[in-house]
Amino acid sequence: MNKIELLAPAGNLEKAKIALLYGADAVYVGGKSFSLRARASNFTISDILDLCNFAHGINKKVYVTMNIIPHDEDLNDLEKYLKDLDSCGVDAIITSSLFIIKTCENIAPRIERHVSTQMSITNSNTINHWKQMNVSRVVLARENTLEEIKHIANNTNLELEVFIHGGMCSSYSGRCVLSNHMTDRDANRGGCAHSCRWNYHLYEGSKKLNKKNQFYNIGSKDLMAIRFIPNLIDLNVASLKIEGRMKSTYYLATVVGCYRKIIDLYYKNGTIKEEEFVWFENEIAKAENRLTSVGFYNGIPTINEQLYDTRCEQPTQEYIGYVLDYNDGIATIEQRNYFCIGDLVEAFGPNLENTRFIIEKLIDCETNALETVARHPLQKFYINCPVKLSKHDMLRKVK
Amino acid sequence: MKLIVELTNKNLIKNYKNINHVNYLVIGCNNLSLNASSCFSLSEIDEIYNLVKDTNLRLILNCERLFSDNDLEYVKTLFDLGFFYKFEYIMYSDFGLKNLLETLDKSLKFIFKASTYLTNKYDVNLYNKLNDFVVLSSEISSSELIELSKGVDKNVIVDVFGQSACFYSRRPLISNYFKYRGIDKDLSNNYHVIEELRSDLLPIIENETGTLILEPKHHVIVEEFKFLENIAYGLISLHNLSMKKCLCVVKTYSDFIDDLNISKVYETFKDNNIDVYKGAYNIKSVLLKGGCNE
Repeated sequence: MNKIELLAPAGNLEKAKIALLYGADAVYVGGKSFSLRARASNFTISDILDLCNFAHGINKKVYVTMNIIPHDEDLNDLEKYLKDLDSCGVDAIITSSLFIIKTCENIAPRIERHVSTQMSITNSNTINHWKQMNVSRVVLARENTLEEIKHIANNTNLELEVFIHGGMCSSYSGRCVLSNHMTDRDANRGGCAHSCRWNYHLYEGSKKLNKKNQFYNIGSKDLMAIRFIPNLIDLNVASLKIEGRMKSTYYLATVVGCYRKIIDLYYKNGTIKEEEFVWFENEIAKAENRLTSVGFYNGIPTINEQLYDTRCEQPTQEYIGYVLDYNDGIATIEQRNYFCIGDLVEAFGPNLENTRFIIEKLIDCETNALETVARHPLQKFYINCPVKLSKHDMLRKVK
Repeated sequence: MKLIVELTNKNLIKNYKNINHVNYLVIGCNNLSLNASSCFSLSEIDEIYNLVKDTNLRLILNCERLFSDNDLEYVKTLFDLGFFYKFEYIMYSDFGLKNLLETLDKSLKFIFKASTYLTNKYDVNLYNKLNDFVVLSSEISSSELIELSKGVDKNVIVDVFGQSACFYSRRPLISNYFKYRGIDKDLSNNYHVIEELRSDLLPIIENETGTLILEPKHHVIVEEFKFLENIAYGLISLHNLSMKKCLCVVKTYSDFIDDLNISKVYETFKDNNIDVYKGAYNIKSVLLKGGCNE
C-alpha cells in the first residue's frame, strides 16, 4: 500500500518550495492560463520548470491546475501550453474540461489527468464515467460525508483525492455563478468575488426576516479535518489536499507541517491520541485566521459549520521572521512583522521541535548596529537563539 | 427550432398539445429534479404519461440534481418499477446517474444539462458524442452563443427562457438559519434574498437536495434566434408563473418562431407582467486576468 500523499497549494515559487520543504509530497500550482485563482501570482512556464526541477530533485511532484470552465477564447493556446508543461516535466494537470483532458491525452500523454473538484463528484458511478475518459485520479466534491467517501472508496479503484483543510465554497464547486450575476466576475474562470461570504437580507414575501443589524448569511466556515486523517488513511484514499493558493508562506509552513506530522505519526503508531489531536489543532490555530469546522465529514452541515454574524478572526500568533542561516548561537533572519527586544518567540521548522525563547539581542546585518525594534519587513537581522536553527525555519511571536 | 417546455401544471397539457412547435414537456419529480418549478409524484407522472401518450407531445425527465451512492439506490428502485421508460429523454447533470442507467439499459436516451459547464464548442461537441442532446450553458454572452452555435454539431438545445440556478448547495441554508435565529417558518413558503448593497430579489429555495438561489428574473433569448439555425430546440423553464402566464410565454415563443417579431415578444411579456431580462447573455464576463494584480 502506497503512503498517502499530502498535497499542498502554492501561489508562487517561494510558497511552493516552502510547502515541499515543510512536508508536502506534491504541490499544485496555477499557470498564467487556464487556472482558477486569477488573483494568485501564478507561475510562468519558467517558474514551473524551476519548480519541477526542485520538486523532482527531492522526489516530489508538481501538479498544474487547468481548472477554469473554459470559453472558446480561453482555449486558443491549449496545445502549446500542454507541450510546454510536458517539457517542464509536470506530473499531472487538474482540470474540469473534457476537451482539455482529451487534448492532454493526445498531445502530452505522459502527463496524468486529474478531474477537478469543479466537477462535483459525489458518487462511485460518476467515477466510473471518468475512468472511461482515461483519467488517473478524481478530486471528490467537498460535499461528501466520511461515510460517502468510504462507500466510494470501496467501489472504485481510481485514485481519490479529498480536501482536508482550507476554504469551503458554500455551493458545490463549479455550480455557483453568484459572482457572475452580481459583479460580472466569472467564478468559473478565476474571478470569484466570494459572494457567498457577503451579507444578505432574507425576505418572506415583503416581510424581512432578519432583524435590524443582523444579516442572513450563507457562507461556510473553513475546513479542518485533522481528526479524520486516520480514517482517510485507512480508506486508502490516494491524496489529502490542502486548499489555499492565496495563503501566505507562514500559513503553508504551519498547516503543511502539522498535517505532515500527523500523517507520519499515524503511520508510525497506528493511532493518534486525544492530546495529540489537541496539540495539532492548537498549532494550526497559530496561523489560521478564519473559523474552522469539519465541513461535511460528519454529515450534512448544521449551524456549527456555517458562518453567521461574520467577523474577522486573527491568528493566535504572528509570523515575524524567516531563518536564512545559523552560526554559533546567532540566527540570521529576514523580518516579516514587527517585533522587539524582550519578545517571547517560537521557532518552528520542517525538522525542528517548536522551541520558545526571548529575544535578547538584535543586530542589523547591514550596519551591525544594535537595535531594539525590528520594524522594516524583509530587513535582515542577527538575533540570539539558544537552539540550532536551519535555513527555512520560521519564527512567530507568542502573544 | 422546436420547443421543449417545462410542465408546471398537468392541466396545461391540453393547451400545449395544440401549440405549434411544442414537441416535448419537461417533468419535475421529487428526489430527482433540480430547479423544477413543479415536482410531480410518481402517480401524477403516470397520469401525465397517459395524458400525452396519444398526442404529439413526448416527455423528458428533469433528473438534474447531484446524487450520492445512496441516492442512486433509489434510482435503481425506480428503474425496476419501469419509471424511466415513461420518458423519451432523461435530462441530467451527474454523470453517475447516466453511468448507472446505461448499465441497466443501454437503450435509454440522455440530455446533458449542467448549466455552468458547456461554455465552449469543443466541450459541447465532445459531450454531444456521449449524449443524445446537450444543453448549452446559460452563462455565456449573447455573442458567444451565436458563435458557439455555428461551431457545434447538431442535437444542441439552448435555454431560451427561464430562471437558472446561480447557486446550488447541498447545505440546508434556510433551515439552518432559522434554527440559528430561532425562527419558526415553513420551508415551503416563498423566500428571496437581497444582498445588502444591491436591489435584486433572488428567489431562494431549500428542499431535499439542498439550497438553490435563482436569477432575479426570467432570462430571454429572442434577438439571437435568427443566428441559431444550427440549434435543434429551445428550452423554456417557467418558474413562479401562473398557468395563464406559462401559457402566454409558450404561445409567444411559438408565434415568434414563425414571425421572428422581437418587439412583439417584449410587448407581450410587458402586457402580461412577465418580468424578463437578458441575464448572463447580456454580459461579457470578466476574467480578472492580466489586470487584477496591477
